[in-house]
Amino acid sequence: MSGAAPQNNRGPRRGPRRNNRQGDEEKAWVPVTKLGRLVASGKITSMEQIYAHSLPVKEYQIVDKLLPNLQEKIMAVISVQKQTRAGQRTRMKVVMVIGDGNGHVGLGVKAAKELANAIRGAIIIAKLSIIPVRRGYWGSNLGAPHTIANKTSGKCGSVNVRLIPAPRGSGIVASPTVKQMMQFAGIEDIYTTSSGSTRTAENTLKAAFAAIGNTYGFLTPNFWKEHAIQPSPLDLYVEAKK
Amino acid sequence: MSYESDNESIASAVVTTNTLLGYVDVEISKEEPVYPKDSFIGGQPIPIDVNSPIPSKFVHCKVCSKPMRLLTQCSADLPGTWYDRALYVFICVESSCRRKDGSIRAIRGIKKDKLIMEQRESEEKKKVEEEKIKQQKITEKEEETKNLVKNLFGSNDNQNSNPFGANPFGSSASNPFSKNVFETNNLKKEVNDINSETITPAFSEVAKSNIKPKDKIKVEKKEVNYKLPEFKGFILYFETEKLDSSKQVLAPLPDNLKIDDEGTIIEDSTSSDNVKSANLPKINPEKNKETEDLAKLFDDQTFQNFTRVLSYNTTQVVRYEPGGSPILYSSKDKVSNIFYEGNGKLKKQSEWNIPSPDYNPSGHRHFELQLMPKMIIDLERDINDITHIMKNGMEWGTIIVATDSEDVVPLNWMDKNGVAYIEEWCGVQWEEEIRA
Repeated sequence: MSGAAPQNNRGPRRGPRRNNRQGDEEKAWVPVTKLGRLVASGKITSMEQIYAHSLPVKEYQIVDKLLPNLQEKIMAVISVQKQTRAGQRTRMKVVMVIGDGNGHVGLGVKAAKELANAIRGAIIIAKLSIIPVRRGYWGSNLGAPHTIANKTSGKCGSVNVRLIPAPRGSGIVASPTVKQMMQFAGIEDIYTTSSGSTRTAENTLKAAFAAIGNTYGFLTPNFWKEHAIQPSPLDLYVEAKK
Repeated sequence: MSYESDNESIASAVVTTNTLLGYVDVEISKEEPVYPKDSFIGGQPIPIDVNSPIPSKFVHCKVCSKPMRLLTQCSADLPGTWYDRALYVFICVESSCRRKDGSIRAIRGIKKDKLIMEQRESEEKKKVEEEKIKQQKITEKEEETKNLVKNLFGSNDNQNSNPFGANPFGSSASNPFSKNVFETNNLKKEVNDINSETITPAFSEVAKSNIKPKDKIKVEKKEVNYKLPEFKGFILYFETEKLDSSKQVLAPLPDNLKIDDEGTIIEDSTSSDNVKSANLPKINPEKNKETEDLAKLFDDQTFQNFTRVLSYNTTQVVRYEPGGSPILYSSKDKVSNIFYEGNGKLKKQSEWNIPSPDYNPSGHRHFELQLMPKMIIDLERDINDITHIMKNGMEWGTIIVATDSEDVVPLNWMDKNGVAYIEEWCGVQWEEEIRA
């Protein structure tokens, strides 16, 4: 307190720190959610732990930390306009796809006045929207899964995208836009078909993203929960009948 | 739809705000003890007067009535006042109390000790006076030098066309040195007179005489009849907030991407089979509104703004600005309704409906203090048990404390030591709840 200027006399104590060590913690990520704190302190080590408990991911740094090999690509940049009293206001809209090429893919769309901010925002949204991809086999279960487990489809606007499992060696049979997303998702072989105004890259990608999301939406028998066999009521009450 | 993100593009200059930011300094220990005027997080609360502890009704949870832990104690004297003032925030960490009103409480402590207040006031006066004298001295000196220069070339007045013709040292009357030296001596004397007259008696003697009348009858001693659990304590230090975009921690742009001045993207395309951004089709956003929902789901403007403000000074744990505005963590809860309109825009400050204080029905509360989630990292630093954190770890996103804007204390609430503790409004924004 001593030596402070009169007007600084009030309010919380300002002044020199008692301890002047200021390491490289400045640059480090400071999480603001409980999940973030658990990830930052290394107590959660994989994305699957988060999915299993359907925890909401609010901070993109969580994804950065758990999936270090993410690749991103800008799929479309369009300018969107809003009519105001003063004329038109133009903003840049960025569509971004992100993925680790190994079963995780995300899609981000963001509009902002400045392109750099739109890109930054799109990356953040793409990271927060990352979903798991269920991969499977076309024929026999040999080797690593290479395609998806079953046929799925997704829709956005007028665009319909249908994904169909393909045999090994088929490659990705898709339009360049969808192909990029499938590559990021880590699918090696797939047939696709799409309809509607597929030149709208944004809607095509959203439809494809919805289709990928549906791969885990279909509960195949091998994911069924094991239940103990209940005795038949006829057997159970056989004594009472007598 | 709000476009908060558009405001992100602030110029690269450093902007200083009126907000004081609290940062964690050193751990409270024997070598670094806390004093009543310190601000700190964790540890045990220090009552504003040794003889008047915080009443036990304030330090127990309203839900489970168990003793609470101290989150922070913040010395918060107001400018223009002379009494002691502190803010305390307590939390109940029971998982059953989480997200319930009354599990986090804010207490304002006031100590109006007349003697100390008078002393401070006179001290301040003395300081102001000293400052004045200093100023006076400086201006006098300036005057003096000015006169010197004037007198040196003063011969201009003598209707002599040649300024060097007349010797300025010729006549004793126009000799600048002898005269001015004499003058300063006079001034010095004056200054000394002022010093001896006003200041010396005003202070030390008053202080001395004040010690005597402080009779022991007045002091009322109350015992602490509770024991609070505690977090590890850390002392805080405060700095004004600086929004320095060069120190901002931002999401990095991809490495293979560069944006040139005109705003076009240059991509080092390794896989060149893709979409061009050359001819930009123009789309009216109103038309394809239904397709926006995916982006909306993850585009939480309020939260992004929260992290943006944090990105300038990532290690802040306390924000302090009486009459300022809080930074909201979420826009979906009860607390946000106070500050936000239905359409997600921040209300004007006069339209905030923070509950009015019940002890001062005509008054209203204003924002004063906000606790930031970095605090949880510090307080829970020693807990390594993951199940304990999952179950009992704190889950608040931010805690907003609003106090009476006139700092009113009902007179009969004060005890004989001039101390009063008053519960104030505190709004807690919790993290998004996990639906099982």
